Amino acid sequence: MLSLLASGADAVTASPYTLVAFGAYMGGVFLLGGISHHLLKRGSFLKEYFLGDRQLNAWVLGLTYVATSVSAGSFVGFPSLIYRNGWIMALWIAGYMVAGLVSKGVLAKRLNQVSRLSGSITVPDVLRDRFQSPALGLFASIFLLIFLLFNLVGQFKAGGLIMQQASGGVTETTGYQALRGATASTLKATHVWREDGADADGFYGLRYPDYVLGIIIFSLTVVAYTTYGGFWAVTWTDVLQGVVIVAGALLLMFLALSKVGGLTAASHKLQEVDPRLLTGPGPDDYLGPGLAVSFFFLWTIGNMGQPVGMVRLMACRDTPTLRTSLFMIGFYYALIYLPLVVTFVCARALYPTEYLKHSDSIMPAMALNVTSEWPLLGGLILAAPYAAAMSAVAGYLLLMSSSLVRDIYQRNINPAVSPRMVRGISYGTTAVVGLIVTIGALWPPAFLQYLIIFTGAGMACTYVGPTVLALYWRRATRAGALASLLSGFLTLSTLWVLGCMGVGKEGKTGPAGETFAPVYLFGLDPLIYGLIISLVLGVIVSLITAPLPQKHVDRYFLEAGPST
Amino acid sequence: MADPHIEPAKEQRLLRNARRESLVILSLFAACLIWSVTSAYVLGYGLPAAELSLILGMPSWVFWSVVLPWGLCLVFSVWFCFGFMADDDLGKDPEEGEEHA
Repeated sequence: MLSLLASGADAVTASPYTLVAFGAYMGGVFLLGGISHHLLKRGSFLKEYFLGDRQLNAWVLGLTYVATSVSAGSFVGFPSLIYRNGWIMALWIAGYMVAGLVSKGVLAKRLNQVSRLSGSITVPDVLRDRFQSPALGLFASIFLLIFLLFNLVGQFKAGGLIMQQASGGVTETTGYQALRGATASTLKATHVWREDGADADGFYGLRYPDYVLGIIIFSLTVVAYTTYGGFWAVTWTDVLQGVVIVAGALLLMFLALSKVGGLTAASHKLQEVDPRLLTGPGPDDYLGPGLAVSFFFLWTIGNMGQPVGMVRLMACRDTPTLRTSLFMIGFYYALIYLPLVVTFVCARALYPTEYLKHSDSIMPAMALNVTSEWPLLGGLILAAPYAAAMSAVAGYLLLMSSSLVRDIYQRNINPAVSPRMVRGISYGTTAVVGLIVTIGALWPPAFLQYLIIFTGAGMACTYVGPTVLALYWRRATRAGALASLLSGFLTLSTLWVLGCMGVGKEGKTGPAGETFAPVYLFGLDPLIYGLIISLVLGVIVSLITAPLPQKHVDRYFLEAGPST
Repeated sequence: MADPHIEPAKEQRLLRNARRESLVILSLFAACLIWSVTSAYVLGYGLPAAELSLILGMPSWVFWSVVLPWGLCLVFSVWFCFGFMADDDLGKDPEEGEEHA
């Protein structure tokens, strides 16, 4: 089978052995899911299913935090952008040099403590209890669901693309042909796809049923183990996935360097292809200084506001665990992102034009191209981006399920819900959300990374302000927190909607000229405006509204307060 | 955002430590942001191809603006996590039925 959507002559055929290595990895994932399900039979279901009973140790916390935050965006979308824009992407990702400390160190202790004080198991839960505001909890849950739905579509696209690539060695088998035939027939019968469409080589061309089959396999596996094993399944598989991600990134870098003849040779080749690949702001003015500042904020302060990461901080056992994992996370990021930059600079040197039309396919294509003589190794490397997508999806599915069950149903509709019912709804919602996102991924956006950036920035603008106010400022009020949450969400959404409508894009190049991109006012990402407006409004509205009852606030801020 | 009306002694120890650690982290963040973006802009933006030099195979501006500060941040994190960050009692969950007071 031709390498995914590649038009170049160097495209390779995936071997059946690639799928064998891939299958071994999947076997490990399911084994861990099964063990986790066994663990669920003890203790409180909700706290165990969604928070692992706050028993994460340092290694597990570090790896699960990294595996969840390193998503398909990092492993599929980011390589695609490096391939297109060259060395400037090193500056684009530079925020990760302090991302571990900033995103985790600022909130971890207080968030964990406050969630224990109130008995909260989700982020909306924490905000609701700290500010005694069901409305705040409800808004926080609804916005979370919106952003995660968008994000999951991107992750599923990546999972589908990789699975399609990994299956390359078995496409001629009877079993695969039968599955593909059934998929194609269903797509035609439901008018989703036409075999005689105009663009046979495009995304919706002849290979589209293979992509859809890839999505179906991806969604069935990830939804199954998430639903079955809950938080522990997600966490333990995150550990396996975290190891696979780091090993895959390093291995791919060494193989790419070997193939291209060293980094100096790669840089010289890039200079021949296009000198702008070695300097700022990159081709088509890709990363102006304003956007460089914006992305530094996104990977640090932005990561701080991701509820999926916050939940892991809430699940931490104690502060020695926090300290060790904080240190480890910084190293993991360095071992993943710097090798990725090197690898895909090499990819551009090796394939100067071959993948430019469909650059989201460069990661799986590169994995197969550099391991054509060792297909088992290719399968292992290909498992890395798949692991990244799986671990992110699993974490998000669990977060959405907890949001629906705990924050919306149990706390707003039926507080007296029985544990048996909670269990049923939790399993059901995970499966239903998986199905909805699978349908959404049938028509994914062209460039994965922009979708991930939108949701990451959206969650940051929505949650950083109210969470920081909740944890560090006793004068913060429920109206202030609500103003902070709503203004952050609205600022970011407005600038994205205006951008997608084409406002301010005349004559723009680079990200500012993309169809699915926001308005970059004065060259800055909407994240910056969202964060500033959210924090400023949160403070102003708090100062002009009545404070919360002192007894309630003291509980969160003073030693042995009157109510404890 | 400390409140001047609160006696420092009465404020939770964990809160005081967390605030102190956050200030250090945010200072590091500001220093890294300024260093990376400013040096990259000065050394690497609009550079003519003839003036480009490589360090370890990468453009020199990538080394000075990204790789070197990244390495220093890792060293800093060793000191921060094992020499500066305090251990605190995170507390206990309320018993079932007592939560959400």
